[in-house]
Amino acid sequence: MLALRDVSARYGAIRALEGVSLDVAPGEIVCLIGANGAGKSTALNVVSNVVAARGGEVTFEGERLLARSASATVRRGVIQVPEGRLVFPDLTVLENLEMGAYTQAQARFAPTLEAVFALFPRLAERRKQLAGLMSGGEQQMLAIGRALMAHPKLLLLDEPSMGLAPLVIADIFRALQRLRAELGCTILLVEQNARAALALADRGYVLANGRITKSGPAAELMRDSTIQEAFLGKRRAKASPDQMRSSERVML
Amino acid sequence: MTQLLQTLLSGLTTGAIYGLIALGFTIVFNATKVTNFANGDFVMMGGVVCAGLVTLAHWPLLLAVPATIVGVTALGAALDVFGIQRARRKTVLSLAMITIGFSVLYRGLMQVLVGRDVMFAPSFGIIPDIRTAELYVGSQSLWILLALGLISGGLSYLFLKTRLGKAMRAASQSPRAAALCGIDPRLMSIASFAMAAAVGAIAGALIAPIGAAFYDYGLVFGLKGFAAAVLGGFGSPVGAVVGGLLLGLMESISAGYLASAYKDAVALAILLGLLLVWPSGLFGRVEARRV
Repeated sequence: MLALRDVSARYGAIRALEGVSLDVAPGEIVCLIGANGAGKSTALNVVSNVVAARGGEVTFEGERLLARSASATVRRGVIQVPEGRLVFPDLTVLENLEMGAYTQAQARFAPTLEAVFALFPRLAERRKQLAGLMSGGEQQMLAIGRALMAHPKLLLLDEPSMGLAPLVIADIFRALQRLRAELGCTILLVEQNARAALALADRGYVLANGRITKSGPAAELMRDSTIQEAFLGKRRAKASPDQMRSSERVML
Repeated sequence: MTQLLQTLLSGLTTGAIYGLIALGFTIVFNATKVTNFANGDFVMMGGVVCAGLVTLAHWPLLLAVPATIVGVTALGAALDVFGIQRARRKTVLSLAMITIGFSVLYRGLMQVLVGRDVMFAPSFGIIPDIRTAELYVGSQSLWILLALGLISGGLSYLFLKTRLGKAMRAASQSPRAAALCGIDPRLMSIASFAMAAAVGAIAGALIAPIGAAFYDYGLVFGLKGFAAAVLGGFGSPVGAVVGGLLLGLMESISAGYLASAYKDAVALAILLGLLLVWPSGLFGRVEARRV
């Protein structure tokens, strides 16, 4: 469905991506894990056409995606939930969702809204509230809901767990699972929280210094000793019973 | 009593003009977070172009006013396309400097195209004067008040109810998120400058018959409109209108009861005092944000 071939990108003199190739098949959840600054967000932004690639090829459903405008990419059904959520703070929840549906026909709005509210009942309760006044978890739900309003074929999620409490992260990841089950969304997920990401995903790629260093089925990556050391750590041994319970939930 | 009423009425007319100018600041600020220092020159050009077309080119007013609006709107859009969009570094300061640059450019353009004479345009007519034993409200004043009502109502509707208006607000709050929703932030930016210029052109054409049109008036218009916008709460459309009307009333009262030479000083002193009490203006609010 989505294919990156040998994609490179740079910010000034800094190389952000070097020869990155990856694939996402329809119905799959693929995660891209790696440390801060590894180039994960850049990869998503190249696909969304908000950052220009220096070389390589991105195709979506067999069509070239690079060098289109961001809005043309949205119209093709590739929707990104950006890092840091970026809800419109001075717009209400409902208005934020309307903006998500900006490229969609007015007639589809009401049924889509209902589906999003069914997935995130919290948003329905707070529809009149200014988005900037909501908690981080609620803002993340809103950011995902806003993306769903555009009927994504492929959802690009950038660090949905960032800055959230473990219980909230569990909520968000459960919602992502329902997205695939109920709406048939294909998801490319970028995460620093490797444990939660690998637990959810079918396959994973590891990105380090702008290059893909490992890839494979998520369960296999989870067992990989170098990945365990680098990203999964040995938290369990030190964790208090409470934290253990919540990290269990995250793993689901 | 009659004198007070008459003073208040003339204050409302001036205030309505200030309100229209303040609305121009509000539109651009709400869509782009840019403070457009060329906003007063939109109004200046509205007056100069309209008066020039009527007195120099002998166009009928009915044709001159729409032509003025179209022309000034195009010049306003040009500020965005050739100025704001081309900025390498989009900091508040550099963008403000660009608008100041265009302000100078607009002044020069009007000098060259229309000339350096103070001009007047004929009144719009049609609406009759209101004349009673004690009171007089000129037809042009009524036009101005009518325009303020229609334009502010239209803008409120646009920003609160329409998809375009909400998208303009969204693009200013987070350009990247707006782009990821399929909104083109550049298009929103152009639209806001064009709309501000159109409102400015209308304001300018409305004042040309009772004030005057002169290439150098942009600064005064801009200053008064800016003060009105700040008084009302920068970025609030309701605040722009109320702030404009209040500023006009304060000026007119101080001109009527103190001395007209001091009206600007008195009005601006009151403005300063009010801002000490309400730093974000009457209808301004602290930005809603939780990190």
